[in-house]
Amino acid sequence: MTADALDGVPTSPRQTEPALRPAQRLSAAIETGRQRIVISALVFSVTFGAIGLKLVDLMAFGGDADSAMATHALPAAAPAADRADLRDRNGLIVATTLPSVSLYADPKMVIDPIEASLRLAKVLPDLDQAKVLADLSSERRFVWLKRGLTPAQQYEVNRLGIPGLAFQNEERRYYPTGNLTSHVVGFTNIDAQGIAGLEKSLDDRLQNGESVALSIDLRLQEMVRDELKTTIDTFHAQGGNSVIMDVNTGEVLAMVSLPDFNPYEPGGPAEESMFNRNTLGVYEPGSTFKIFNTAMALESGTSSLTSLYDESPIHVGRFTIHNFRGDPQSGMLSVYEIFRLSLNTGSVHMEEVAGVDRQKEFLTRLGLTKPAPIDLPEVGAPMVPHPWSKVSGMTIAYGHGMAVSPLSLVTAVSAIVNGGILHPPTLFKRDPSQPVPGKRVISADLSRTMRMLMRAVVTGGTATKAEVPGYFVGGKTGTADKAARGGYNRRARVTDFVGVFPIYDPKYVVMTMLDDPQPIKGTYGFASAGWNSAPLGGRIIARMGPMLGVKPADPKDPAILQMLAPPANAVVANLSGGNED
Amino acid sequence: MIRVGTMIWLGLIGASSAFLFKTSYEVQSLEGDLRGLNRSILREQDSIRVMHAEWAFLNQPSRLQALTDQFTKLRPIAPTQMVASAADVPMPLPSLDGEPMAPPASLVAQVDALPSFGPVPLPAHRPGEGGVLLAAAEPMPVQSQAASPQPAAAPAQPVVAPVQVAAVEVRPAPVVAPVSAAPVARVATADVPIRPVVAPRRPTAPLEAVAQALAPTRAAASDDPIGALLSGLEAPRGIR
Repeated sequence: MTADALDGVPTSPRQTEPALRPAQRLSAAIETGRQRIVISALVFSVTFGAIGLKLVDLMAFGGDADSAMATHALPAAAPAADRADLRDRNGLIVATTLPSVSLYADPKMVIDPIEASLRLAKVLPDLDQAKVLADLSSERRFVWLKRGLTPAQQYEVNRLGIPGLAFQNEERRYYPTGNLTSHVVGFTNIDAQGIAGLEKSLDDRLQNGESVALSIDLRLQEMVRDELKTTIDTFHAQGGNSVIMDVNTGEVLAMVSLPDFNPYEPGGPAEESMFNRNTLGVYEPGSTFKIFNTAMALESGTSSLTSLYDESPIHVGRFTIHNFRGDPQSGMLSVYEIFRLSLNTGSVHMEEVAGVDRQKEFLTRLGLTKPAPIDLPEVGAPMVPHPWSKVSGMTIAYGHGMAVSPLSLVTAVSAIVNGGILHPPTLFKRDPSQPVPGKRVISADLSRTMRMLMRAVVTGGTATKAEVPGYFVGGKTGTADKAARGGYNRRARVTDFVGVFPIYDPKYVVMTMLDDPQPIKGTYGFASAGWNSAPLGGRIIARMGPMLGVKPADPKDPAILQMLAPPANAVVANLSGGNED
Repeated sequence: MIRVGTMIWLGLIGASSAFLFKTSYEVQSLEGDLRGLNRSILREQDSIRVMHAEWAFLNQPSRLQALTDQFTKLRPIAPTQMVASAADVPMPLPSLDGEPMAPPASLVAQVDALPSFGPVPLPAHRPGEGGVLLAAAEPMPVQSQAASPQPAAAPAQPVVAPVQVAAVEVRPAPVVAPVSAAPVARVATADVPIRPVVAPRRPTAPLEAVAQALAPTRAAASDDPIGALLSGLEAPRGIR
């Protein structure tokens, strides 16, 4: 075929020639028609072939779009990626996400706002009817009416049949234990984003559906909160806090700060209740710091247990450092006695001999000059003197002039008693098969000596009321005047107690702290730590030991008594202790 | 004229189309089922989550504590109750003819070796709830039996018979148990150090007082199965 024949338009000069014969013209026309039919047939067969293939594809193989849907249909059964749970160390739920329904309206679609608001207020009594009316009469196209309806409320609203109202499926954070873990767990905003506590620091992991097991033991947490609350009420304190830590892993088993708050209504009337005293608060711990001062002096070799120091008042500039009333105010006493009776002046002399640089280095080594490395957003930085002068060194020796968070204190004491390994504190349950991170900060020998000293404080020193027969509690009390504007408030104090048990093989550290406890009937006008924080610590230990299955030992076990016996020449006969400071 | 071959082909086409349609509709209905199942799985998962949350809510330690205070006489375990494990409890087996055997000397030595404490302090308890019970129990003289001071005096008596012995001292009139003189001599006074393992501290004397104190909460023991069960447990036959 030629191009001339194909296009069929008589443009070629040959076709216009009149000389062509009729038969020849006819056969040319037939040929053209034939060719046209073949072309059309080809076009049609290709088209129908394509349609047919597509049909077969759709019917037999479900088509591309459909097959994509089918593969997606299966994993739809997997749980939707809601915010994951937080659980305690025994697997009890501390925070979880539940489906909930929220009610919204498109005011343009609401026919009679007045009637609608009246009927809504009848079904949802906690709605403000005037506000609902204003919302429904507004010009906007979307207003929330109520978030987080119960199924019953949803049913009731549905039954009203008001046009323009609609439901939105949402998720809602739910805390089965309420206030109990409010400071640890924190809370989320209404859109389920963490804005405080672990909810905030774990936001990414929880959003990705990764459930987290905490180191907290809910049973302990409840018991500690119970005891702490009772003690705060008894002593009319403004608040209090307590931490229990596993000395060998750094896991925080309980962390209570009172007053606490309702995670559903954070920031209620008392702003103070949002404050986590354990991590965000920093306090001058008072005599509890003598644990570190004594360890530092013994480690440096400038003092031994039998070194003698003067106990008469020390005059520094316009200040006088003296011992608690009732304690020795003069004479020479050994380091052992200074620690047992918690004497300020002896501690200051020990520090003076060792030197400020050593003190600074030692406290830094124990992590007391930095914020506690805990996974909470609410962490307070310690208040460290700048410059670290000679006078600051003297006051820090007995726990004034430097403020640390209770959690830092507990972490450092754990390192002192557990054989000398500093484990970073954690709120997550450690995998027992993994090695616990930690670094050696003091020698095992010094740790043993410190345990002996802390035991002496409980058997014959300031913390006798913390003793639990069989559990061999060791500890140290501290009482500090509360820092006020430009100085100290002599009438307000913070008392704290750090207890360790069993002291011959430490397992747990318990820290209790009370904010401004008052002297009550039965404490003979005293309000120092030995009268309130230490007994509280003892009660907590007496209840937590059986809970955790700690077996008590014979109080007269000669091997243990031998291990905890002080060197004979360090003890002063007939020196009464127990001013409970 | 239609050839036979064409007929066969047409028949095959018809048959395969019919089969294709049938399969296709089957697949559609199965997919519908799958979607329904997936939806119900999600629903179930949601309700499981709700129930987990409810379980956690009902297991709040504070709630359990309140229930325990209200319905049982259980109190927090005191450290002194943890002295020994079950393996340490001396439990002489009766001989085959029913006669109780004397504890072997090694067991007696083992009991003697157990740590002893001073008078057992009552476990710390909240001053608020459960105070009634505690108040009733507080003045109770702690009855105990020093099992081992004179084990030779009553070799025929099994070590574990504290309940009857204690009952004899408290309520001398109805001496029901066949107690010989020797065990009475073994009744310890309250100031003798207690061996908590050997002498279970059972509140014997003021049992009635305790029951009275509990009366308001336990009045309707008959229509409350747990209460009935507990009252059955609380009154062993040897005492009342």
